[in-house]
Amino acid sequence: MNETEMMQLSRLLNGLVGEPPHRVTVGAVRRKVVMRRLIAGVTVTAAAAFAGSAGLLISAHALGKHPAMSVSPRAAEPRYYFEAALRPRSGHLRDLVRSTAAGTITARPHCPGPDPYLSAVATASRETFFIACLQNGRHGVTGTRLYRFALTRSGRVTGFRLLISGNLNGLRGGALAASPDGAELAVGIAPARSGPLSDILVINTRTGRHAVWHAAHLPGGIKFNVQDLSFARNGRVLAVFGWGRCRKTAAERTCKSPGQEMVAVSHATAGGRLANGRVLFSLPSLTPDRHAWINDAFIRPDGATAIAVLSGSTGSSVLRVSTATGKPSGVLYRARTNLVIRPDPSGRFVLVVGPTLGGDLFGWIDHGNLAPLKPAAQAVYLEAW
Amino acid sequence: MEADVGDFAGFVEARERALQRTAWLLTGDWALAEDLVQTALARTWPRWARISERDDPEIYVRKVMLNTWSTWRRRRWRGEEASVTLPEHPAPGDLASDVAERVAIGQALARLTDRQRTVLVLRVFDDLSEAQVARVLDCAVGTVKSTLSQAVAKLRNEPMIGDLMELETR
Repeated sequence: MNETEMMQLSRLLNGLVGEPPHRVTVGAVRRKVVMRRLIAGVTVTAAAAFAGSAGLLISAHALGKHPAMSVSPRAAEPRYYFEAALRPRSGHLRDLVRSTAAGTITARPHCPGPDPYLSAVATASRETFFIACLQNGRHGVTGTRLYRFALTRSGRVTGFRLLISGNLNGLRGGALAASPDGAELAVGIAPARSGPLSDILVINTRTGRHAVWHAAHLPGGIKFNVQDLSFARNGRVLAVFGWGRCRKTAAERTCKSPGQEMVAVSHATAGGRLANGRVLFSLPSLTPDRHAWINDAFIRPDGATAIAVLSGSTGSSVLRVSTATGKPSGVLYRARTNLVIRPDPSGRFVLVVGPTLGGDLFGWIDHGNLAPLKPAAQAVYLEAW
Repeated sequence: MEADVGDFAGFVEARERALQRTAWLLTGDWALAEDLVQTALARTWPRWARISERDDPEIYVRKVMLNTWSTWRRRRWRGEEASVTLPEHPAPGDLASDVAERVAIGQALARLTDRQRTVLVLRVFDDLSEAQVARVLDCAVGTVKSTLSQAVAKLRNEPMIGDLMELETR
């Protein structure tokens, strides 16, 4: 449509509309606001009364011959997922949001600034995402910036902003985790140019207040390398999965490496030493196989169970692990390849990639089967939903 | 809420007529258009402090208006039925050609889908850019372009509208 056509159409529409017969005043809008609040109040009261009577009915039903039916609807898998994947030709990473149903790209969020690099991603409820962007200087990483954004109903990025206290100069950040409500964010940190992630920063995303959990110098000459972080019990419990190793300076006879384990601290926002936490499970508690290893492990929001990927020479198993006993309580999925996983904020829907950058398997676990995500066969480097 | 009354009242004073005109093009009924604008403003007022910090609060209000309208359209209890003609009748004494033009454009608008009509009204009548329309409708700019193109193609196929558009182009 050219300019002339547009002007002509505009003239036709203007001629059609005419002038409104009445004016909309602030007074009329105010009355509408008051009415809406009154109606909302009445609806809440009515809903409470209905829920009360329904509760009585269900209780009565439960006491009878038939078992009470569950009234909670089945939750659905997230509508969108985030991925950082390698471009087939250039080999560069690209960050995308895709729809779960069709695989169509709905947004291309990216780290702001010159030559940034996405190192981690985490999700909270209401399709809120947190990303950690490494800042690169002439001599390598100079710091990390933490951003938050949400998705609209159509999967577009909205509210992209730097977190308060999200500018971590001189630090390298990774292994992000967000509490389900997005109020707390945990990030594994290390000095910008050295070594694996060894400490954890817990940031209140609303106030910017933060606390540090130290894992680099544990008793007995042990240091803990952080791999995965996750929250339980509304952000009160922080679970840290990683690898405890003897420091090079530790005396060989006095130091015994604990290996891979998940450690939980009960007051995530307090900070302190990770050595004071409780070991929920370790590699030997999951399998006697000395050649096996754990690829990923996350605690579920209820804190009673965790999900871990146990890998070995024959493939991988995604296990449900009881945090009370430290033992596996079920197998969610098996595959003859090396897997990595990422649960959604509810802990119910687990993304699976296997092997990383290989693209053989990519989907989510649906009652023991892999529900494939489109497009298949991608070189996925990071994923979350 | 009271702290924002002055700012909000200024917005309502300045923009209510434009909003009502847009609403009429969507609904085809002045009473419904007025109600739609009032509802959209009532929904945005409690959040006005936050909304007015945006670069263009009117875009937000229009978005609420369109969402409200699509919700109303979906509700069966309104008993609304798709109609071939908009409820617009020529007033006695109008010139025949003017009436014919108005009726023709009204009928042509009614034949567009909701989405096509919305995009056409926002882009052509409200003179929003394609990017702004995309923001209001939460869709890609390309979708706006293609929907607009479909809408205009449909209008061109209407004998009278096609003629009117061609006359001006010459």
